[in-house]
Amino acid sequence: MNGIRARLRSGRRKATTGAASPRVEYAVFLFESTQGAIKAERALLRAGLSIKLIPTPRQLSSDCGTALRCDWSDVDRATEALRLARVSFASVHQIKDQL
Amino acid sequence: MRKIYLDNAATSWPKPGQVTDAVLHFMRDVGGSAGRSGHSLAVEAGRIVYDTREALATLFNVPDPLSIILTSNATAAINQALFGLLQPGDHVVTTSMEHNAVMRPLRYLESKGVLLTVVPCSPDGRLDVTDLEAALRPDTRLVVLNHASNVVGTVLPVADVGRLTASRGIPLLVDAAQTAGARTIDVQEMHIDLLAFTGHKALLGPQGTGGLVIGTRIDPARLVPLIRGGTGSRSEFEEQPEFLPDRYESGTANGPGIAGLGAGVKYVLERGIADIREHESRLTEQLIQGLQGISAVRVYGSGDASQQTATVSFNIHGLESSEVAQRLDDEFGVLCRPGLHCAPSAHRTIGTFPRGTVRFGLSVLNTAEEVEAAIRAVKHIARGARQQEGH
Repeated sequence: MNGIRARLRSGRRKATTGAASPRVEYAVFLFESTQGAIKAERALLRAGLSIKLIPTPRQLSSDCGTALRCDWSDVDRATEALRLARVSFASVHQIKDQL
Repeated sequence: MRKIYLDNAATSWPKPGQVTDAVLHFMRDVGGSAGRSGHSLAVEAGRIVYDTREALATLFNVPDPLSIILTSNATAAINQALFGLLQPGDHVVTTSMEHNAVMRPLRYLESKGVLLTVVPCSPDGRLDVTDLEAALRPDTRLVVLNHASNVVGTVLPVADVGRLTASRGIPLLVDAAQTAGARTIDVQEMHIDLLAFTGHKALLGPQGTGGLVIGTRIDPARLVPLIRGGTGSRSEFEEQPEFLPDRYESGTANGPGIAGLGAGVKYVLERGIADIREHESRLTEQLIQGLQGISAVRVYGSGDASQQTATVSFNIHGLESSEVAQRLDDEFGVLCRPGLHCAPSAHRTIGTFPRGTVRFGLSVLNTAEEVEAAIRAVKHIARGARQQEGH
């Protein structure tokens, strides 16, 4: 996993623009605690989103060992679903994976 | 001889099958350490822990499951709350019906300069809220009381106390060891700021489980952690994290126990507190009436099943409680707890110190047949005691 494009604290995010590339774009949410990450997983699954808990990419943070990943195209839906479920997150990052 | 287990006020047994299954499933198929590592089995362990928190949040009407701290029992939760909040010079109010889980930490804190007022209860274990109100002072930092007595089952008016403490801005700590899973507990409606509960009694979970609900009016910065250490989060820092639940949950979690607790809470939620209470109340009434019908037996407490949990204390005239308990076990397979039940102050209040009582603690899994057999056994022992006395 490489190509970290955005890193903002306090739950805000910044989308980056660029030329279309043959790579998959993910949003990675970070949390203070693992239990917070699992709370988010439960909320997003209930909201019908396709997500996955992953070990936190080392380049991002060591706040907590578990992060949550979804397609970058779902980042707005996910952020809104977390807000509705009152789940706080530390930050969200755009990551591009080489195909 | 088939055992009749009536020691549920100490720890409930048997447990529903799904509790045992959940413990076994964790031990056999999950096994990871919740919050440590990011691999799939550690995450699965974390999910099980979270699901237990969420079930507890539903049961106690806690807005955020992450504000429920999982501990090894109610005693650990009460100690966290008391030692975390109280400083020398602070005033704290409690009642004379408390268990030593509350009384011993308070007496220790008193020796270190905390000011303690113990509000007396009536001989049947009731608290008059106006007595508690009269004990409040401008420097009162905390009110702590049990939801129901572990000796006579008398339920204290927690909602009334909560209204009072909330109106005065005083935090309220409730020891729900005897009621969590048996009575309705709504931390918001009852204005409970700190709720200490155990997992192995009416919540039907394994021993070694329990927790502390940290209410929204409690500032974690002012509730000092009793235990500090590894949390799996903020690993680069040598200072304890401030966020919940990690601030109060250092060290590896009791995964199998918490899995079982989650299954116990789900059993309670599915069956419903109303149904559990109705069943226990019917058995309690049967037990009280049966015991009161034996002439040499004195039953303590309110005598009214609707005013208490399924815990009933009694004595047989002329016999020590320990002797009665031993004969009940040896001759009838009835298992109960004699003595002072770790609550000397409560026994002083009801007039049974230092003699103690025989305590029958029922659970939702007991039956009317078991209660009937226990009453018959007491009757048999009491008749023998009277005949001996007659000679």
